[in-house]
Amino acid sequence: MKISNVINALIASFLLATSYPALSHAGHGSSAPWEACEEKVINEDCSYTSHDKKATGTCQAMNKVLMCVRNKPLETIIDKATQPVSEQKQSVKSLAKL
Amino acid sequence: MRRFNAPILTPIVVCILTLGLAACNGSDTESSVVTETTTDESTPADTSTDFVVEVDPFNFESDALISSITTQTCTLSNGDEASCYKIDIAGVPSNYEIGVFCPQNITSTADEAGIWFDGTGEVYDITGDFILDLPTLYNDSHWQLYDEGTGLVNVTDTQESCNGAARPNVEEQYQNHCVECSIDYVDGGISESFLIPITPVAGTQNSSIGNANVGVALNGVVLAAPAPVEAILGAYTIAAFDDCAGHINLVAGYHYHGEAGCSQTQIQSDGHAAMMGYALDGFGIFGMLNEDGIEPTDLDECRGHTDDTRGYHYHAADVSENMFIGCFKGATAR
Repeated sequence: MKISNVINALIASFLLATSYPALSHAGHGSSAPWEACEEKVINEDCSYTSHDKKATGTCQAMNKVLMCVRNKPLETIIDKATQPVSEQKQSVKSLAKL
Repeated sequence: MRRFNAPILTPIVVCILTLGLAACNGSDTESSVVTETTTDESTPADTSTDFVVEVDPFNFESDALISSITTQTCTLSNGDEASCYKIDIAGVPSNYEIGVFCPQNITSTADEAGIWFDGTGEVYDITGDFILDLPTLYNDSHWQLYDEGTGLVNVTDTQESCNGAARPNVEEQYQNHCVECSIDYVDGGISESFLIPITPVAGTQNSSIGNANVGVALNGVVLAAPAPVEAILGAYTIAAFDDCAGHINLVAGYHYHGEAGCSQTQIQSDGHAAMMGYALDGFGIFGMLNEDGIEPTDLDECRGHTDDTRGYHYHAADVSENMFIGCFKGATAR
């Protein structure tokens, strides 16, 4: 087998293997509260990010499935890249309080 | 056929690998910061259950119940015998008319339909644009809830279609439908009886929320366990809620899956969040925010805490979270 064929096969295999997780992380994630408690036990701390908000809580069983139940106020996530410099300073202050 | 050049492809493969991994990093990257939200930091953490407040029958709206609340002996989940209130709710809200659910066509506005939430922190008005955007929202081109020729939304507008779609195992023929049921299909509402301990008894361990009910709203509506969003979306359906986060099926009738403020009937004189219902363990459930729009910072894993006026009590989660409380702090009636 020629080396180019091997590389083509490797690329195809990689794209197949990574397409699902890439898709599942794109756009809207409807399973974030459940994914946050995968491989965790009840009452274990958890957090997830959705719609530019970070939720923090503990894993609780709902319908016999663990999901992250928020017990802290939602935190807003601001992307530094799109934030004006003046507001970045404010964010640093806010972050220091946390 | 053109052959790829191996020395050139090697760095390309490395780049693809890097990009692929980066796509799974989520939002917690170095480019993001977390800012603090408005919170009530003056409130000391207190989730003790030494002080409990009994269930007050007068907190219920008068038309929320189909009969007077009575007292009877009950056995609690911890094995204790106790006195419980038997509460027979009407199954329909006493303080408003059940609203609209599904939009009729792809030009419908927010006023013409209800809402949708999937538990991830966002509430969507089910407008025509929302229907059109579903393939993008859920990243799946199989979503097609409308007729491309007419623009009409596929709605379960008969009792038969309601029965086939408003359940976890949606019949295949009702995939790609907006699901709604009329309250007329359940004779104007399904009344239900609940036994709730008059004096809440905190357990040594919290109890999990099952797939049954969480409690009762003060306006006579059931507070249900989280909606089975995965099954609903997996069948390419939207089980539309009205603007009060309630919807109807033939088994439970009208019930809530989130706290949208429609049952917060007991305003608190001290500015605390209004009361909206009782959990099945007898502890009160209040709204998420106080009158200043602030959420408590000291909630325990069940979303409860204690104060000198209300004793131990819960604060409902945001309507978008598809739940009310995280667990039961107290024992429930068997």
